[in-house]
Amino acid sequence: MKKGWRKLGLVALAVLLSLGLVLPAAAEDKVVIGVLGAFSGPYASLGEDSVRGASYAVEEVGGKVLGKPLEAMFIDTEVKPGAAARKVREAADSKGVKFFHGCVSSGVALAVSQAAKEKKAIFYTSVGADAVTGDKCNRYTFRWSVPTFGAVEQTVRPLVKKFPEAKRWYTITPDYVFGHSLLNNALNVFKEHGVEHVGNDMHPIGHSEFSSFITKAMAAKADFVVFFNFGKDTINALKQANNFGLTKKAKILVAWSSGLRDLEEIGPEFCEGVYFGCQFWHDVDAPLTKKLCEVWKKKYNRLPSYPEASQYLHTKLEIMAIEKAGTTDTEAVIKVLEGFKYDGLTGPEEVQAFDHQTRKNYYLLLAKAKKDIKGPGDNATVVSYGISTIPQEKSDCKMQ
Amino acid sequence: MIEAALGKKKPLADREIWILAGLLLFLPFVLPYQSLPSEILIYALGAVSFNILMGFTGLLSFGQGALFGAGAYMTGLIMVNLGWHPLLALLCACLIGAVTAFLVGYFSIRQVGIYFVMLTLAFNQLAFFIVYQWKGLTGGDDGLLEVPRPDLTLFPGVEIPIQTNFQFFLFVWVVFILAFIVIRRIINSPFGRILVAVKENPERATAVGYNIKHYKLAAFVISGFFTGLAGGLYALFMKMVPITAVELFTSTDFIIMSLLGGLGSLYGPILGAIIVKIASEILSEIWARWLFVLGLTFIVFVLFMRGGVWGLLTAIRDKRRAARLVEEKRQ
Amino acid sequence: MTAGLVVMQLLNGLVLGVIYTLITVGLTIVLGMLNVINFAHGAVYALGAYFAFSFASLLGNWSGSFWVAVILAPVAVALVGVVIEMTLLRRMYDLVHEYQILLTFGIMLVIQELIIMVWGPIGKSVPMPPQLATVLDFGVFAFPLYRVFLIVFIALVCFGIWLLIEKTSYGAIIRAGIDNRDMVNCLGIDIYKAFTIVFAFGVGLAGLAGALALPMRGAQPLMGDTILTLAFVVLVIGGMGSFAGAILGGLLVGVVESMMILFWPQGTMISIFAAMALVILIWPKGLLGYR
Repeated sequence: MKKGWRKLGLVALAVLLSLGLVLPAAAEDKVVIGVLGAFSGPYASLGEDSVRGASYAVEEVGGKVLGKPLEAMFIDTEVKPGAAARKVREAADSKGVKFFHGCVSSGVALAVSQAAKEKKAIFYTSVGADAVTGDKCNRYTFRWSVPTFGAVEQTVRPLVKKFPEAKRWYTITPDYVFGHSLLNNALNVFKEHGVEHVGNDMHPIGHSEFSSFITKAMAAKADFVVFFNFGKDTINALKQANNFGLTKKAKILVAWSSGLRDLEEIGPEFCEGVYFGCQFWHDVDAPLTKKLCEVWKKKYNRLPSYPEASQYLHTKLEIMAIEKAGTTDTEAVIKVLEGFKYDGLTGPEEVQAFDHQTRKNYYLLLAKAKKDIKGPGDNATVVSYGISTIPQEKSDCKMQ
Repeated sequence: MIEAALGKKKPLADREIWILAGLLLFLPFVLPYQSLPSEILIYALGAVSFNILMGFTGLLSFGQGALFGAGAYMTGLIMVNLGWHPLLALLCACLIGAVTAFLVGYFSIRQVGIYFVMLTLAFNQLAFFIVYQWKGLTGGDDGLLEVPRPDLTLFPGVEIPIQTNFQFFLFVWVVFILAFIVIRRIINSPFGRILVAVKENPERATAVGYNIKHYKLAAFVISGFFTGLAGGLYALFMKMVPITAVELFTSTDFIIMSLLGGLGSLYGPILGAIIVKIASEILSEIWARWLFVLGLTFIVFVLFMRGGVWGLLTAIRDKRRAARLVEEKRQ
Repeated sequence: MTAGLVVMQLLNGLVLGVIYTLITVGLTIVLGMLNVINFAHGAVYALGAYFAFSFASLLGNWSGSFWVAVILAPVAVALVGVVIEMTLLRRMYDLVHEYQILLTFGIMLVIQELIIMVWGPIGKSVPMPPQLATVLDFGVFAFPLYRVFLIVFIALVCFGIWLLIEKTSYGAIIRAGIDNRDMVNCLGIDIYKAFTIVFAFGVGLAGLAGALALPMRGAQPLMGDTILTLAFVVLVIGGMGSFAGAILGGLLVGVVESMMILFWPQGTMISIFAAMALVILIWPKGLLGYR
């Protein structure tokens, strides 16, 4: 008995030790940027976008920053807050990573933001929940995308103004923080313009049955139906809206979308005449975007998508900030980023110092009918755009 | 195997426990990951608790996630809102685990076999949806964030730090070993033997006069107690409680670990937790579809190696021992 | 809350209900005959949807493409079922059921990952078949013709299955096999071949459900997960091994889910499970179960 145990123990030890030798050793003197993406789980395609976007940003600077080798490390968040936070902590502890960016879901981003703050690492993200640069803001987290406030200001408000005869608005909202933010911001706009909010439906994310909400909207004789969903929920919703004939009875706004990617995936038959809001559009007057489109045409023979573009920019911003600070010390880089002005993907952009939110454009698009689309990327026209961020007096952010 | 474990050894004088403790202590030194060792032990505890149900009582429960989640949220909520001593919070996790297990068990044990399995699964899903909807309490999809992990005050003036990865690992290690000793005691006692009887021959056990339903429920409650403990540790480990703690995947994680490691043996699930956690960590970096590999491995094990890796190792050991005996006899 | 809305939700409930029924009938037949709970049932439902997508895409813009896909997809899923049964499941019949459950669970993981590997992680969708793409306008509410078709079609399918089981000699074998497997074997009927056919048939039904649901909901890799849990709930409520129970349970769950969306959308799933718990307490064998 004793002999068997000892041997067993030795075998186990040998196995574990050999694993320790085989696995890669910790990083030497190089700068690693942790790219958080969704490689598994329901949004798994976006992970590959992170790879393309971030890799190109690294390639653009020749794989070096401050003379040291620069590397992008891809971390699968599995779209789970727990897994993402753990991996971020692990990367910071084991490999000394001090720069992170990415995340698709607000919930994951909030957890990562907490972890990054603990490890004193910078985290750049483009998720939607106001809290990220609102009441849950911290010194280490920065956001590129426009949060729900700006999204609503640049989509709902222009449409309310443009269609003064549309007095009855119906909303369909995913039941989580991000959805609630969009709804609350919209309610404020409705109140200011005397528009009647004739109903709202909350649904769990990933819910695929929108038929009842659509019919309720039609029964309420809504002039405008706003979908605050995201991703495949939007796809389902629009298809069913089409199936039930909503598109003929009311105007539709999808306040938050991935732009071209969504339009292509849903298809012009279902998108025609629908308004979409998005963070990024390839056909704008910004030199950086034009350059990115050229590069993508050469590499992939298509236009860049929003996820690719945002991950590219996150990486690029972190690199630029490191270069400008002259060091990888996060405190110095934070100081550079606060108030940083640069030529971004939507034109000139600026990082607000008080809440680390970027001032950038948000676009309102109108999807074209199939027959009007002249070529790839011509799926919509830009109706309007602008910058709207929460002013400091009204912000919930108390930066520590 | 059972015969060897059924001896009446005193736990602390028992070699096995020391060897196990020693081997596990090596984990942080051998793995190139800083936080993984703690997670391994936490999941090992969950897997061992599941094994009380499956390996020893023959109950395939898909509801362990509900128990784990209950413990995690209880500890998390106490730490966030009440700021109690972490050990007290962990104790509450154990209790809520036991209570939840009692509730789930009470309903599920009314049925046997496959019916029972489905009920546990449905209850796990119910727990998930309750947590998901009760956002004000649990944070819903975002999880319960900012769970504090204060140092442990044992006596006034004596503070044990559990802040760094290694310090926390030592804490989890101590808790795990203590819990394991208790579980082993239970399994090796007459009560444990009745559980095995319930699994192997329920008709006979009933004929001899045992109320099977009571024993099954007891096994559930015990399993819930320790699974809740694992959940509580998880909340402290992550400093947050993600909703994945209560997901069906957590239940299936324990099932997978126990099967791969070895059902019906106390040490198997521990081995299973180590193997699965390390493998998934390494594989997920290489290939996003590593669940495919896990699924295939699982199928292979279910078909050909139901004793798990532990079963394989002990089979090898027994064969060599038999060969040695034959040699000795010859001489 | 108009009468029209309530009627529409009831109809929607029927639509959901018949889909759940179709899936659960497959599950219950496999359970009754082979005594196996097929954890991979949700995964094969998803597989049916994806096969239908591929077949429809292959056939392109031809107006009949969807219909051909709806016929081919379940057949393809049934073939997959044959492979699974003959290579994997068959080895397990002598063991306790728990291991068979575990096996089908492993199969579920593999199928789901294969789906992502073959079709990618983004969802797929097909347009409504043009013949049924109209919306019926009842004034107070509107209802897509396709959904009406689903109700009628699946009702016919269930009727056909009932005929098969009750009126044909094949059905007699199945019924006998559910009652007493060994006796059937003694009578000289190859019970193992029957098992293969029944398993293939059962998963084929799930595949059919997936294919039919495709224009309505699209296809996502993990679409089988929720469906599986719901199928289990239907099984518990309706009664294991009971064909009528699967129908009753399926319709009940579908209608409850649909009506709850009107009154308390966030509480939909919770209500369904609460209903399940209630049924267990009062009718442990399910409403129509006999096992």
